[in-house]
Amino acid sequence: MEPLFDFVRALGLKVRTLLRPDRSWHELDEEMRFHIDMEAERLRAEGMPPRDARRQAMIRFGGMERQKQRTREARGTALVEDAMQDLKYGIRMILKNPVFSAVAIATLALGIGANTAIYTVVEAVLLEPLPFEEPDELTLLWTHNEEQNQTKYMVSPLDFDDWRTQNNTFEAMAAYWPSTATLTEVGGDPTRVRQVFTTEDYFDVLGTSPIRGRTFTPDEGPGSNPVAILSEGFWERRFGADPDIIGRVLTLDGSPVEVVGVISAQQTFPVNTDIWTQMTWPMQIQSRYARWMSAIGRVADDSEFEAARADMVSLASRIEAEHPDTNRGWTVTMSTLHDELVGDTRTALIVLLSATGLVLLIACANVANLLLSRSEVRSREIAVRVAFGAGRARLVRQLLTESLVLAGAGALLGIALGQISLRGLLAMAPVTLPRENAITMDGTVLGVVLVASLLTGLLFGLAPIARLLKSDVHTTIRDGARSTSGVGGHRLQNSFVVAQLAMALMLVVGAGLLVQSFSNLRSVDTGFQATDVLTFELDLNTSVAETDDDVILFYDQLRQRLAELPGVNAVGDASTLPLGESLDYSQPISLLDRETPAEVETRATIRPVSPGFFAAMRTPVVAGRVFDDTYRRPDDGQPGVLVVNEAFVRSLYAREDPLNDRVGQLGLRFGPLGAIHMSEGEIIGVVADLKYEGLRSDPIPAVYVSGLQSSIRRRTLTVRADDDASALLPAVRREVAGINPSVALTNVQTMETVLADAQSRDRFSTLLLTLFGIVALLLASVGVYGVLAYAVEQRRSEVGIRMALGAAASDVRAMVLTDGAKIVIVGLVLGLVGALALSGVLASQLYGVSPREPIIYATVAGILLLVGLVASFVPAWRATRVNPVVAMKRE
Amino acid sequence: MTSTRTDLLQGTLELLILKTLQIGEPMHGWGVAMRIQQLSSEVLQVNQGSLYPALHRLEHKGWIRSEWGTSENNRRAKFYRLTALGRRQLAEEREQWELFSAAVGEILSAT
Repeated sequence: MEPLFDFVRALGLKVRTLLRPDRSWHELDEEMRFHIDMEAERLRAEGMPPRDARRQAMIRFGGMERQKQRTREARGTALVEDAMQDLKYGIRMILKNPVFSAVAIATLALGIGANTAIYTVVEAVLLEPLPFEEPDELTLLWTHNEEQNQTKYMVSPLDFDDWRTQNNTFEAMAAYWPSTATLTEVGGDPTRVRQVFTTEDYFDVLGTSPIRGRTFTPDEGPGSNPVAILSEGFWERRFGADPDIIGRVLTLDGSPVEVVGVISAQQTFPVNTDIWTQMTWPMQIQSRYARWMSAIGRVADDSEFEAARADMVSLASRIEAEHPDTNRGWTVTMSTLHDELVGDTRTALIVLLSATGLVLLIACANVANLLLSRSEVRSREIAVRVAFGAGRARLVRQLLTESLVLAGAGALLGIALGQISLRGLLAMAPVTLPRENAITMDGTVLGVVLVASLLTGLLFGLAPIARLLKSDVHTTIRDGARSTSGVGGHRLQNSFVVAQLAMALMLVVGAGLLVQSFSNLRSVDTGFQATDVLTFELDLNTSVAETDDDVILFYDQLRQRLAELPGVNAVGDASTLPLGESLDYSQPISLLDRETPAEVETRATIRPVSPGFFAAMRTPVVAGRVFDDTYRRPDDGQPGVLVVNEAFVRSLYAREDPLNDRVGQLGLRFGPLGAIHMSEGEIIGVVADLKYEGLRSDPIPAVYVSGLQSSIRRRTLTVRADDDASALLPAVRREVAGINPSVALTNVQTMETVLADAQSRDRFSTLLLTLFGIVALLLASVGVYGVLAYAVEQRRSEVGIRMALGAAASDVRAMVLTDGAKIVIVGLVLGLVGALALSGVLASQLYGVSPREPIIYATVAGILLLVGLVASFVPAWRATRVNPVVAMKRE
Repeated sequence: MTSTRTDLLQGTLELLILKTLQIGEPMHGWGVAMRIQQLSSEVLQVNQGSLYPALHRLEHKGWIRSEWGTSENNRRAKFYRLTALGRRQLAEEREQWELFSAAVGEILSAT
């Protein structure tokens, strides 16, 4: 028992030593003094003269300070004690200079906060592995046809079946088809849901584990009882996360399906899926020509991605040789699931992360400069401490601790700032930001941010330390009062400011390029007027409209009813909405009344639109006329009529008049999607080009067919209002329900929203980079101001003497301004060089502006020059207010 | 200082401190040094620089404990005494020392 007690007491002693280091230090001092006194007394007793005895005792003891230090180290608590002492000292220094510290911490927090927010996104989107089993093996497969200019095209069921059974490099392969369905429930509004049809092994290929229930089993192929799996998001949204969901029977497009499982939000693929069901048709009954399925595969463990690609390409050419009619020119392309999900966000995110990195470096330089300026003020204090025997190593440690305390405070504030701005960032982010539900500030992110902050602390802490190590104690103490700053010090500070300016210029050039690009995008002619147009999507399943005629009739009737509503200006519908989710049919056509040179490909996108569509969109009619209600189905005895776009006239008609010419090879049936009911038609009009695939896309030849001559089941209605488009919605709903209450409206949005969404990614990058540019500009101007103001302060006496000797205020001002201008100009030149070198990174983000656009560079350089001079002006003005007498008295 | 006085190895000093404190009253640092010198008939000279590091190390290990008291000349001094844990440690170290010195002795007396 007693030994344990001794052990505990020893522990208590350690804790006491750590908690009250001063007291234990004093006790040690007293103990040693006692020893020396006793020794001296003994020597005296042996007959030594008192003064010699004392000296001898001290010599024998061997330097009290040294012994105290050694004793302390022997206790095993010294390292912790020192660190705590440094920490205390650091915090005290920070509290002693609240303005300095606040500026430094705020600057750091700004830099760290921006980086935290952006890095969180980068980590989740780019770095974190996908939440599937062995996600690197997952690969998406498409068909590809160079001749027909089809990249990443769908695959036909028959081709897919060959892929799946004849490849040598895949562990497994599954097909899926994103579609929509209407969910009806007793007593509830019908809901449109995003339904994905899959092959039975789809979830096994992905490697998903359901959070509830199970996934499909192999025997649940076509013909068995229909079962469905819900996504977590849909389960929560629609069923309030009902724990008893498994086994519930839903009515999907009029037929019952039983829920067997729920898949977590992270594992929901394709993103935004509401419900998965099995494909209800066998692969073999489809044509090779009908390419409409998507494919995903898992590359076998022992195969490389490239080997798998080669395998698939050779398989495709085998199929091509066997079925030349349907497969001529069709091969395979692949990309990993990760690349596909992340897409071109990668470049944008890397640009943003580099931008925040620059901001942090600029912030770092600012704090380093602040510390340098202060270290000059403190250089005398430090020299005195060196003279009194403080080890340089210890001083370095102390200064570093101070920097780290600053960095730590900056990091804490920065992380809080980052957390807040992350929320804003996500709210502002384009809807298409991939993997958005994975974006959270987790341990990894915090770890990275903390390490980055520590490095930051080291980085800016090193500058004053380098100065300290070079400093000469004697000169410093002697000259301290006169506070002349060494030339070297200024050079260091100046080069920091030069670097800051250069980095700020690079950032602002990037921001300028994006702003120009964005304004180009905004002024792109979309071919429509977005204001006051309400759009919504309908999809008619066979329980609503059984035949093609029913479909045509339904939409015709709806259009008439909506047009009669008060406040409605024009109504139309279209199978694809400009800038909306594209469902395009690009196909070969034949020009019946015109010879085209062999090298011109006669292909066009066929787009069914109803009468009134161009009026509702206010798309200019360039020549001829557009559809009206008199053009009905050809088999009603009416001729097929077509409207083409200007791109069609440009590329296929060499800008000649196409009116009254006939176009053939139009008739098409898109499986369950609907059909175009004519094989040829006459061109009755030409309309302006509409942008379909994003604002950056170039218009491709398009042939519009009348919605009354096609029976596409899924269409987007476009309703132009006299003024407020959204106000029409209740009335519109009533009219739809008036025709058939089981039809659900989806994607209800105004055309302005559609346009804004199309601009959102560019707006996002532009806004952020501009923000970072402004921050960089501010920080850099603070840097310029700080250094010049400090230099003026240092040269106060010199200025005083000059003025006493008769220098005019303007001379003094010019002197300071020249100093400032030198720094600014060097910074600008370096920045311009850097920006020229790096701007290539932005190329893919820009629209209609070269990454080396000289006007932008010149403008930005001008702005920075101005900011630099303004920042120099205040110190210059202050310099002229120096009172010579006061300044010289200070010496 | 004569050559007959030998400086102590670190571990040995700790053993001697423990032993010295076992013999008698609580002692202050200077007293411990004097006693070691005296008991070894002035052969062993305690390096005064090593004394306090050793004392504090022992105290932090819980083998000795200290108390502030009044010295023979009426001054405040820190007195050390052996703990139960230290007593056990002393026995162990003593045994090892004897093993060690016997072994060395045997080698040296080998002919």
